[in-house]
Amino acid sequence: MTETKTQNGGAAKSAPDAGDIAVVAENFSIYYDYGKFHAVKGVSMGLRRGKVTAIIGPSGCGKSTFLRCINRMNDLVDGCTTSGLLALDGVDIYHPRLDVVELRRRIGMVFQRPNPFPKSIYDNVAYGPRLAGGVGRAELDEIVETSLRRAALWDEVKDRLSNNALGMSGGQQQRLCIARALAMRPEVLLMDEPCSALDPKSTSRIEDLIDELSGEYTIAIVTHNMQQAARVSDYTAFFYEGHLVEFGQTKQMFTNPQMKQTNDYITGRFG
Amino acid sequence: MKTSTRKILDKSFSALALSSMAIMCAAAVAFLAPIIINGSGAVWFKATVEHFKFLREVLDRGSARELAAMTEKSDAAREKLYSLMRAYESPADFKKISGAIASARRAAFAEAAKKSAEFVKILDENKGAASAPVIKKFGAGIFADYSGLVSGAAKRSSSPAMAEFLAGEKEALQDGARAVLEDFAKIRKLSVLEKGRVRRELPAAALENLGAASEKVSEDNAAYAAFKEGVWELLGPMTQADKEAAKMMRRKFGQTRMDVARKVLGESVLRIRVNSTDSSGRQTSESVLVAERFKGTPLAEMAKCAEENFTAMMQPRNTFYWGFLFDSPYDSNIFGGIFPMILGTFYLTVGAMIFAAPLGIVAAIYFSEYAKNGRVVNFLRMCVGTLAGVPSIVFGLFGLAFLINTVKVSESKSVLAGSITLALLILPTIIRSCEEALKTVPNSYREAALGLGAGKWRAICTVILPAALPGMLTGIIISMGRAAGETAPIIFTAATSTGAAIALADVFTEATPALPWNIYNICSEHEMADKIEHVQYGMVLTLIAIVLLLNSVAIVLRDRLQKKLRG
Amino acid sequence: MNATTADTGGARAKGALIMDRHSCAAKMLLGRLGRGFLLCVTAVPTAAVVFILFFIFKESLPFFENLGNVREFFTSTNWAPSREGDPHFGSLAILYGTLMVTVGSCAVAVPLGITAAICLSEIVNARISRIFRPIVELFAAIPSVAYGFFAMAVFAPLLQNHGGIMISALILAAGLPIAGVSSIPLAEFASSKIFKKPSPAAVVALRIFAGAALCSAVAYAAWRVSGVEISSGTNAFNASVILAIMALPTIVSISQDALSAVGRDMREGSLALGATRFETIFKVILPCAKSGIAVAVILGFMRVIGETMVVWMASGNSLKIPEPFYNFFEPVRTLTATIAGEMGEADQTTGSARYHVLFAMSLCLLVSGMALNWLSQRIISRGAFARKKGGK
Repeated sequence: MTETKTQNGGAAKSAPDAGDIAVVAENFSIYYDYGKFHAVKGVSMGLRRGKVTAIIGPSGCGKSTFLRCINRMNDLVDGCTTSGLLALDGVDIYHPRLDVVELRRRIGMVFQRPNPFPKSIYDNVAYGPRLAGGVGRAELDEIVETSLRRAALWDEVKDRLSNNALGMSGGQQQRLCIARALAMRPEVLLMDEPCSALDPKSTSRIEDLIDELSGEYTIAIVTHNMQQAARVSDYTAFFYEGHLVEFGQTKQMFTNPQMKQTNDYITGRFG
Repeated sequence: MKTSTRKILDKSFSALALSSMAIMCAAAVAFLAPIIINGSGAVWFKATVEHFKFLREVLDRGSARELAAMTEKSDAAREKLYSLMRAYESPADFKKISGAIASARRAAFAEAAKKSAEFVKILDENKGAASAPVIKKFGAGIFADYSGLVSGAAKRSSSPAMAEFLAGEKEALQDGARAVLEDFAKIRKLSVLEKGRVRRELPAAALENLGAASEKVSEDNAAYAAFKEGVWELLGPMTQADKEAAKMMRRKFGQTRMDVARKVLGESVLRIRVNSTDSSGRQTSESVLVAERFKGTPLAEMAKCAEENFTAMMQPRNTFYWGFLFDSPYDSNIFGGIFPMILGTFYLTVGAMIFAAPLGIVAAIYFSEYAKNGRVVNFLRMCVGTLAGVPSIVFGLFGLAFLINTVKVSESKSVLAGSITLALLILPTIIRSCEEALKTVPNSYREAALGLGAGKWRAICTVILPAALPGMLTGIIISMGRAAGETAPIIFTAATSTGAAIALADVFTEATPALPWNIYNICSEHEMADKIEHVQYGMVLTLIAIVLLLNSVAIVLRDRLQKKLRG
Repeated sequence: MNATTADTGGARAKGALIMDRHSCAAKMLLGRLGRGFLLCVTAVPTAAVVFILFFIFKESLPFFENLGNVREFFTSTNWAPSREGDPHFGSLAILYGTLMVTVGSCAVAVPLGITAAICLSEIVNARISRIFRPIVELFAAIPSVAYGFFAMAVFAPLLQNHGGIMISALILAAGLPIAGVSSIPLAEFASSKIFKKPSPAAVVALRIFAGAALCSAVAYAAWRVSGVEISSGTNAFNASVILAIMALPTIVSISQDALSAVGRDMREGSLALGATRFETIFKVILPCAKSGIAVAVILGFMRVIGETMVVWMASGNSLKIPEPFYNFFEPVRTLTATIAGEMGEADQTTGSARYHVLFAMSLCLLVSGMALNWLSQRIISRGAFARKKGGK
């Protein structure tokens, strides 16, 4: 929090500098079905502060699972357990006395399908701040406007803030979801295939948005789309069958992958 | 099988299936049509002047001036019938007739006294038992005129006064016979046997004639009494005094509805029930047409008058009687409306909701949001299913045995006990429909709310419940309809057949009338069930309308809220 | 811009991620309490079931203590529970009446309901069935006392005055089409048995013969029935028909659910192999949906057994077993009607012998209701609707 500037990272698998890296995973594993199924196997990596990290890999490789574990959405799944270390700003996310609600306020999440609440646009954005409480009407208005502007949605919706959010187009809905997450002023923003349900035009708007937000927020984005990963991210992690195969700077990874599997996946041999 | 055969089979099966739908539709129409047609007749019907009199005098409603005009017209018509009846009851020439008869009797006895010598001679000529027919013949001779007069009078008038007069004549004849003995004794001393014989046989012929006449008169008079009773039922009491003396309201007013009035006219005025003795000597009563049985008598004339002036006497007028829904019943539902039953149903339904809705919603939230698949939860779920399978009458018995006899929520039946029983009955339905509604809320809403830092309970309250609300409301309203229509659970716990509405403050202690129970009651146990068919149909239609209205509201509500939620 | 965000973020005083022990314990406790409360509320139906079982059992126990009573209950028809000094509890006629009305109504409702469900889900187009579905459900909502009233005030007089003619017309209307249709496969079957290679003329002749034979059988039955005089309009037939109408919506809507849960692929697969719609329905769809249909029938059955008002008002309340035993035009009496009718007069507080025997009757009802419910749950959990759930 003290330092928002980051250096250009090298190979990130090495032990990170605490001020440099927002979220750290060390030998982190995830199991489903009370340990019967090992979904993510001993992952060690870090999300650099103010940078965009893309997580790629074929379906079922555990990338979404890993992402959801970062703000403990896996708590919703019966029989899901973890081992190893996952820490936000040096605080263990799986600490027994962790305040999950506070954690999720700091780590926002955007889901695969746009999922605005069946409320007005304003209420959607104001949902998080209202939960926290202690926010006056004027301040709330300001937060809503700032968040919507940040999500590049303000100009489109400023005249119809009281309309039902479900009446918007898919792309607008997804940007609203991003604005809703931003209204919480999180440190980290997790995006689980945010464009998979959108048309190309909306996708490019969201990508622009991610670009704008980088530097200010630590962003992790799961995507199927390798071009998208290449376009928007600074770092890329490649997951395969629960293992983190390779993690490094995007440019380097896409031009000169270290591992054969990475190369095969990037060049479209499988996946 | 050949293709053509298969095709024919296919076609004919389709036809069969379609006809099964047709049968269902026909059954639906056959069920609803009579109820709707007859039931709406409780509110919209041809009312008679008596209906307006009832409204004016009992409920203080309606225009007095209009009523006065109607009454005047109807009274004019009624007067024709009433004057006939009055003339029948006390004929103008009754005094003349009775005087003539009395004097004929006196004359006959005077003649007997005059002929005492001749008579004693007859006695001497015929000793012993042989004298009886001779005495009788002698009596017949002297009472010939008298008998003629009596028969004539019986044919002319059969008023109650005449019946009474003829009964008196019997005594007079016997007295007269006793008096004439003294005249005979002046000639020679009569033995005791002779005295008795004379006393019996001298007026015997006249007495026989008188008996026949008096029987005819009293038979006619009974017929007239039946007719008069019918007229009373149709038109109400004849005089103000009668009206004031009448205790029950049904005796204070005539028929208020034209359809029932027509029925009463046909069954109790134009036809009357008369008693007759059949061949084996048993008393039976049969319904006879006045115009045929009493042809040529004043009674037939009255019946004709009643038939001709029927419409004028009743002054029918098409009317909307909204009071059917908002008035209390009078004189066990013969007059007035069904408001206490509607109110009772409302109390019971709302009471059941107060208990069942919160419980059901909370249980549904637990099942859908908190419960994990485990033994305990499976058992709880199974119990919900089991509760749904308990027959409704068993709920009633349970309410009686547990709520009233054991826990004693109230001394005896009460709205409270009934509401709790009904609440248990609809609880499984509410839980299931609310759980269904909660399940239709997409998981993404839950994730989004949690992802934004809402606690579980906050997420449920702020996002999931509002999204599930339409579905839950639909389920709850449909359950309300079920609670409103259930009869068996309230028989032993809440329902009473008295017609008085109870105040809101009494719901914890008092039993209440309620539509479903009272429908049963006035169909099966009401003493005049066939005269208040319109009330029965009206109640059934009201109940069906309430239930269907609730269901339709639920459907419309669901559609509208869903549209709103979809944006 | 970067810095301002960080500043405001800091100003909004984000709480510590790790709670101290105290507040953590408090939060846990609160959560536990909340869940405990929810669990308690959720256990209300369970408590109700337990209490119902307990109280019904407790109140009927005095009756079961005397074994002679129990034997009489099931074997005798002498029902005089309140006679001074010498009460009799023979309920055979009542049990038989219940059975009769239940079987009768299912005989009407099950074929009609399943056929109508097939029609709604397979034959008419979706638009019509979308209109019909809510109407069918509305009919399920109509209170039973209304049906009972109809049975008593409309149907009973009709039956009493024109019963024979009505029923024979019904037999003709239902029987002739069925006879006509069933003569076709019958003739086909017969011809394949009789001739090795049936000529078309022979098949047609057989078909005409079979049709004529079946139709005349139906006509004969109708003629026999038309002479029947019905002494009382409130009888087992009346109650059965009205109960069938009541059970129809349940059977139709649940069967329709089961039928539409059968996947489109099944239908298309069968039709693509050249089966007619009739064959598809009978050979593919019905076998797939059979457990769902069984549940529908059981639920309809449950509704009929537990129904009070209709049988009370329409069955005639006679304590005799009809003569002969299959005569549906005689009045009968059922368990529910007996309870409803006699409990009002039974001495409620002190617990007379009659009071207890009525509770014993309700125990019979309760047990059979629970057994049927358990059966339907078993069928459901064995996967009747698994496909539907999976499909969604």
